Amino acid sequence: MRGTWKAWAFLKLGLLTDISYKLSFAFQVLDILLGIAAFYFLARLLGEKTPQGYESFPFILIGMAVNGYMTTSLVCFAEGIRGDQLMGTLKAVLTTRTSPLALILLSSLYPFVRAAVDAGLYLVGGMLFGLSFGQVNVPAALLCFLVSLPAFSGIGILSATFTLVFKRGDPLLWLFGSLSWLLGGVFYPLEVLPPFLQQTAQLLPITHALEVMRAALLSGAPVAELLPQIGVLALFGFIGLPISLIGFCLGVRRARVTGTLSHY
Amino acid sequence: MSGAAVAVQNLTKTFPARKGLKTLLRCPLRPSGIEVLRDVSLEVRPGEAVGLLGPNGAGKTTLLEILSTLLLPTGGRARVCGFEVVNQAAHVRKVVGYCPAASQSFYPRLTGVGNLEFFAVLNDFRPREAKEKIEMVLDLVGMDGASHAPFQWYSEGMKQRLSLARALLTDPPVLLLDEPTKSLDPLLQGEVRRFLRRTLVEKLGKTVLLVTHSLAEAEEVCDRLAIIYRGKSLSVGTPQEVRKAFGGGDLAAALERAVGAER
Repeated sequence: MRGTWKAWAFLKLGLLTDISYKLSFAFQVLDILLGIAAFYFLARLLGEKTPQGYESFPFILIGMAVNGYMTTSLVCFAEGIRGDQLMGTLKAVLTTRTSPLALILLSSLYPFVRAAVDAGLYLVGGMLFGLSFGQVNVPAALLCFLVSLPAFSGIGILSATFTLVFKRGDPLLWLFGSLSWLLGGVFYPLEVLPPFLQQTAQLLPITHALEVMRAALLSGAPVAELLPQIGVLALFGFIGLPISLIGFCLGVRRARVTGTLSHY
Repeated sequence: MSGAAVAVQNLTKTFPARKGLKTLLRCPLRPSGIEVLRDVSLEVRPGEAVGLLGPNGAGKTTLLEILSTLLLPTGGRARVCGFEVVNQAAHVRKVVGYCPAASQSFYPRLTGVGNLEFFAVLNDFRPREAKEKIEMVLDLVGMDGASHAPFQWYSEGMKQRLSLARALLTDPPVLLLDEPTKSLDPLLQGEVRRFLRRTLVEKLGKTVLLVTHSLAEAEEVCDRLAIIYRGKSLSVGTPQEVRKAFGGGDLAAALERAVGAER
């Protein structure tokens, strides 16, 4: 029960802070809708179908939604730490009865909810531009969402550890953020890339998340058909998440030794 | 030692320092670091108020941060209510209320009450319990309706009071207070000092470890004083004992002589 109250406290903190900047909050929503419109017209220009038979507009739209979600997973943990360092609240929360591990996980709740709302906005906004989801496989999409979460979060928590220990210059965020954008298949199918880059793309969780999400939302592919990609995503989470959590605990310990918890 | 609220034995803290290229090439194996605490020993009895005095950079805040589990010591032992700060940090956090020197340790867009509710839940309070407790501590530190305004609008005095209120939320037996009257006007300072002495120490029986640069405050609030200089504990005793140990006169003169002898 205490965990639930704590989760609610973090959600409330994020929401109250977010809506206290009313204009920014409204513009973020508007930004998504304008982005959808831009991609709609860009897709009309491209016109062609992808090798998997998807129309360009839904292909890009799902790419944007999943990429947005992944970006949140990558940055929210580090942003939470950095925000607390800047406000001077990091030491205050670390002297409470909540463990650092619980704190880092709970601090990501609101950004994840926001990212889910944003992803939903992409899909709803797409429907305003005539996108239809006639063949959606909801369980497969939900399963993909659930296994992607730990896969992306593992990298995000390691990134937060970098922020805690080295303050700036996080190579993981740069590596996964930029490579996912370039090789993950957000805007174009992997087939347009040279073969060696297609193979490199398999090392990125977003590649598999996008394949599964598009197949589930645009062609209604059954879970059984998507199991290999879902398995790869689960493996990313299974290996990455425990490593990142151990890394984070070591990072907190390191900062307690060096006295740099609140440095930024 | 076993009955002490705070027991510190030969505590040392060295912060790792980066070696310059020259030093690295000349003596690559020589350990480098900034020694902030050197063999500090101190015992605070339950219900006692002890003041930590010393110039800036003496190691006073470092000692409080070790006791509040924010820092790990390099050597020695420190216990709060019998719990080791290194191996029993979670237990220590249950018995300690920490009021940091920096008053900017709250979420600026949240109200004072909103901030306290957040920290109360992180300290395992249920929201309803938290509300009652918050009312009580706000009353105790003398904060009225302004606690419903966003924290970023607060004056320094209100921020300090809120910080004190947060330290009291869990009703901890031990309070670690780092310059709690730093930015307050003289009237408010007097009020807070009386609150620390009469309410917290005498009425509620709290153990207080107080870092201060105000010698008048130290004498008014504390039963005993510890002078720390360059990470070393120079003297621990009642204000009279400290004055006597360093040649008599007032506390300022004694402190000057204590520090001067070490220079």
